[in-house]
Amino acid sequence: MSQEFAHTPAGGAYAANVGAPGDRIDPVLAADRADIAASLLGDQDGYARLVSRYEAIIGTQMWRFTRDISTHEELVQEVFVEGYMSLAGFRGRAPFEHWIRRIATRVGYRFWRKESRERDRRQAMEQWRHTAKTAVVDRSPSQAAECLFQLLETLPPKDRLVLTLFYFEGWDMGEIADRVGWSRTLVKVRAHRARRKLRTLLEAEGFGSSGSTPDPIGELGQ
Amino acid sequence: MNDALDYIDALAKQARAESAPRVHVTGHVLARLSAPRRRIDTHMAVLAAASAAMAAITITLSIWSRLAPPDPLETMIEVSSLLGL
Repeated sequence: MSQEFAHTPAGGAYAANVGAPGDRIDPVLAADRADIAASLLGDQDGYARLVSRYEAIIGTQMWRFTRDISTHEELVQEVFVEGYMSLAGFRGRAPFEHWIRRIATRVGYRFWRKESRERDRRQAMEQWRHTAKTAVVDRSPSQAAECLFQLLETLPPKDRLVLTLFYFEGWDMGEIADRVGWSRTLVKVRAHRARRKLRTLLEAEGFGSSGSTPDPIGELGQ
Repeated sequence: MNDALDYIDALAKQARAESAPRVHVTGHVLARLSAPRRRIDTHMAVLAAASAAMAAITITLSIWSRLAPPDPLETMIEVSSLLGL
């Protein structure tokens, strides 16, 4: 027997965009549609299925925003709570995964803005120096991620967001613009500037500058 | 590896292979959504408004009593008592 939430995302334009009943669609998309429709009616089980279907994906994404286990779990929860509250605004034009990942990006960015201070950014550089020294040879993916995380932590939140999505998620400029809600040009310019900052920062730490590397932002951004 | 950006690109390539900690948040999310909304009790709201009004009146009177000139009748009585009249 399904239960109902205390909060129900009333109404919504979703039903008008789900397609005709005879349409052949991906089974995951079909399951999402059914669960969204149930959730909009206040069915707790419907939303529980959506959460368990996407918690791993959102968990991976939110790990890019914090390396602290308990904060990580809180952020993942926050994404799904915010997702439920905004569900009435889900129009069904894009897959649910894209929509919830956009919310995840917003939640993560908001978290950074709240906690980001100049002092923390300076501390991040100190931490990076330590991690980079202890993991020079045969870095594990986790050590590399830690190192990159600390390096990106030295940037202001907007720069950090663009490069986090670019490096960790492997999204191109168009995808980042779509998920963050900024223009493609703005994202591209910000990414260039942020990379230049990082280069300056690393060169000050003794990294050389051959200038021979092709810029992947330029390539992906086309 | 000479270039600083080469270093970052290499880090990113390795970092993408990292798996995030597994989370099971369904129960917590449902609990948060099922929790009743906090409502301000009407009695508490009335009490808070009354307290605020009382505080405002007290502060106003206190300021007024400091700024107001001395009452002539009070001054006369004080002078009379000093003179033993």
